Amino acid sequence: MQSEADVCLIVEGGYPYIVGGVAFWMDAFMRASPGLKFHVISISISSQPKVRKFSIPDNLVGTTDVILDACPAGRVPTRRDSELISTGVRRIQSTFAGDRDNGFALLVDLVRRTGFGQAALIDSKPGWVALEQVYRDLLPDAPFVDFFWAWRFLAQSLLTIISTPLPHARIFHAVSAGYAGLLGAYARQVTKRPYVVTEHGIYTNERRIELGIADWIFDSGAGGFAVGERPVALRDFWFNAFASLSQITYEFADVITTQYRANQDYQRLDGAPEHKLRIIPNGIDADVYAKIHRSTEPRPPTVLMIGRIVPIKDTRTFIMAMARLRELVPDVVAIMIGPEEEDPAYAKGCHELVAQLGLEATVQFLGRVRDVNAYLGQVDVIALTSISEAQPLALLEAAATGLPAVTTDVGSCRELIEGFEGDPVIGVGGIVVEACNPNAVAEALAAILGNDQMRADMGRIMQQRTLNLYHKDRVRRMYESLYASMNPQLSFANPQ
Amino acid sequence: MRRSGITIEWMARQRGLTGIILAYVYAALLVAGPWLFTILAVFGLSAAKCSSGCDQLPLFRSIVIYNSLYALVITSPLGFLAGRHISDQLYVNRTECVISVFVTCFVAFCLVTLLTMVPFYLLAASLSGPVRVAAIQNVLLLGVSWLLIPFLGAIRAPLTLLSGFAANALLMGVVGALLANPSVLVLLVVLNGAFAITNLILIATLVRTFGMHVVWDRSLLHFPPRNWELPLAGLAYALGIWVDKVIMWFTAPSGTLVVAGILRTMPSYDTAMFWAQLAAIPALAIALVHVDTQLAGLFGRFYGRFDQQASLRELAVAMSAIRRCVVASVVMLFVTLAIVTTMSIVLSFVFMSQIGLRPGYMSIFRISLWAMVFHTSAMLCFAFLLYFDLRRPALLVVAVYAILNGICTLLFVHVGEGYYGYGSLSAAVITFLVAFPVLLRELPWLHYHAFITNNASLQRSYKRHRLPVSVG
Repeated sequence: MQSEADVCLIVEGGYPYIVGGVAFWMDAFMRASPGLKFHVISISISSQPKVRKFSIPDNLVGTTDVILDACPAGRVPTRRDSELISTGVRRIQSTFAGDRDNGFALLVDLVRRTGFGQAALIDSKPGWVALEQVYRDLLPDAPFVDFFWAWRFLAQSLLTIISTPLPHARIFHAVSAGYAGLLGAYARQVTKRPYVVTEHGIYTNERRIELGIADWIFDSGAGGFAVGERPVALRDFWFNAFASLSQITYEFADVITTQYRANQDYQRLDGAPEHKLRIIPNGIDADVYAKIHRSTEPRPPTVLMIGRIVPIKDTRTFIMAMARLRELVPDVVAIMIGPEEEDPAYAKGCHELVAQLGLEATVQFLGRVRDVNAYLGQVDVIALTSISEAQPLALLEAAATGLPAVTTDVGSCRELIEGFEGDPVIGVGGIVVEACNPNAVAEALAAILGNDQMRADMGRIMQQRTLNLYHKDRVRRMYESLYASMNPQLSFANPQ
Repeated sequence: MRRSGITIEWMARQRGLTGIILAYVYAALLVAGPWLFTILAVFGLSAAKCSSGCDQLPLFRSIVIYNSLYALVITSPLGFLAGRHISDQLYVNRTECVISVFVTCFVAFCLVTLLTMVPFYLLAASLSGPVRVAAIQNVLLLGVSWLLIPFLGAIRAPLTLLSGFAANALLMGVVGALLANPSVLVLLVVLNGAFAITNLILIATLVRTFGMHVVWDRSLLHFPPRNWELPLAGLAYALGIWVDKVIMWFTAPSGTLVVAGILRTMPSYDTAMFWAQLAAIPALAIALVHVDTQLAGLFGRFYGRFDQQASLRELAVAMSAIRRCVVASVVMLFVTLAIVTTMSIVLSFVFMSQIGLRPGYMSIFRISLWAMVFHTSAMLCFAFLLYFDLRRPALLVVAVYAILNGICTLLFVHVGEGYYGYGSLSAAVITFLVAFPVLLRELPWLHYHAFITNNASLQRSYKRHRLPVSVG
């Protein structure tokens, strides 16, 4: 029998199968807390590869895979179940409508009591009748095919989540809202164990961006020529559903943490109660990075960018900024480190853009490298052009080595570079620019590369700030004291 | 190739009477062409001049009847399964599987025949050696020709199909006119030769369309377990047609004919039933002209609305039109069949001797005609259910008929000669009373079936819709 974990971490679309900021955070978090036993529930969809990208730490005692589109069939319904099925579907609807009328908790109760799953609530005739009613209630003129697929996926994923076998754990800790947060809420409802959610990025913001650019959602048409009426918005339906997941997460969580203040404003807007909010930043092994030797060998001015080559990192803006920067600093070199396989088409487009701009001699794509640290001492400034971030570990690590930074004004970047009210470290460690503005990025980089004193001062401030606030031991102690306050039975064998 | 419904529609829309008549004739041939031409062929051959009473003809007819029974029962499950499978594969442009599916069906049919009919003719029937061989050849050739029908149907080559069977009928008509006092062996050899030509024409069409290359089709392994209702429906359909006749042959106290020691038939019952079934063809032709032209268009519009981002209200309108068309078709067919039956009964005394019906057969003939009305209407419901891919309700309909036809025939056969045929009639009436409500019950759920039960793209579509799951 599997031993009870101290903490069950719940993650969506990440650890241990996909490399990314949150996945690295989880790996580092578990390794930094050897006194705690962890269990990981990893939520994904069937088409995502299930090849582990991380070595499993010794204190990870179990993992559970939840495949959102592999919904359990559940009990085969009988004729007498029609009314119950209709009630179940109405509760699914309520869950996705901002958890109206306590729909989620009642749905969990109904599913556990009846054994219903996809066969009853999605694929049965009473389920279909109830679906038609939901359609008439929500989007009576929307393309029915699109609504069908949207509803089907959302209902399937909800039923999958609330059918998940829960591990024995003293605390459930979701590392995002959304489906991970929903599963945490389910665990809270069923086990009555404490539940904490940590949001690195704000789930509703990320979904808003994703849905805003999604080309698979059909807009317009259903309104016909009735210009006086607002067009049917399937996008809104999707967004409201995802916003509901956050609301349920906030409602059930005992504590809601995030890394920086700006995120808390969004959480409040999404309905998070003030008394549950905490800030716990990301932690890194700052001592290790601080010891990295900064090379003084002569070299051309060098800019480093670390991150996956994907649209959300806005790599194209970085490349276009390099074209402008080369005009300002002709011998500049740009090094890009990060995997390209997640969005091959986008990565290919980035390579083509480099060729179109004649930057082959300036921009180097290194892909995934064995030792990123080796590069941190060989560059002059780190750049980050993301259109969405939380508290990027790459930026913290680079800062700990004493590198100044140019970043877009996303996530906690401004807080990291410019400090915040009450910050014991005074001064700026780089320049914050607006997103999607290659000229601004290039000019900021040129300013730092062209002024040795400024570069040194900024690097020192970044390093001090990181050592003070983002050291992993400090962050570990914050989490351990949080866990201990939520479950006094937890003891920490290796407090430091 | 042009869909047969389009051809019929084009003919029916001609302003002249000739075009409309041609549409009905073409539809009749589509409905029952292979069957009609086979019967014409056997009749043509049977028309050979006999100077001494044609004593070989009953044996020839019995062998052909038994072989037809066997071929239908064995090929129907294979045909139902293979026809649907290759239609699905052709829909997604996987043409390379057609030949391999045919080869698989062919091998399966030959193996079953070797295990059943070969011992039957070699061990049980009292026939001379050459006749045994010819009879075995005949069952193989008949079976293969029927096995080819769903394949030619799936690739929409009805004209080739009709040409193959028409050539068969023509050849046997000519040979029949030239023969004098033919032995059963000669008759069987000629019949086999004609069917070999038919099969060659049909196989050549398949090979010309898809090539000779046999590619093993892995999906064929997964298809039967997921569509197990189809072969069962095929089996039940075929058994339903024959079960009453077999029961009559072996349990009727009088009127049976025994040849070759084991081949029992009952000419009075078989002949009456045969003509009754033949009487359904004009009504079926009318139904096909009306149904195929309308329903295909309505169904196309219904699915077309999906791509046009239709709302549920708009889909309901399209569905309602299909429902009206289907109900009207069943009612129209029933009424037409009832009119044909009434006219046939009233006028039967005029043509009964010409078609081989003796006065003693007339009671069975009248009952058989009414049985045909209900059976054909029930089978139209069955066809609609299969058209909508409602496999289990379709299986229910044919299974009910097969079982009831057996039970009721057994019950009535001992009541007396005057009640011959009532078993089949009772079964047909009850089956229709089951089939029509089943169809009516399912019609409002067409969109549910389109989206849920028959939606093969449920899994594929997840990939297409790029489901939103965050990457941390």
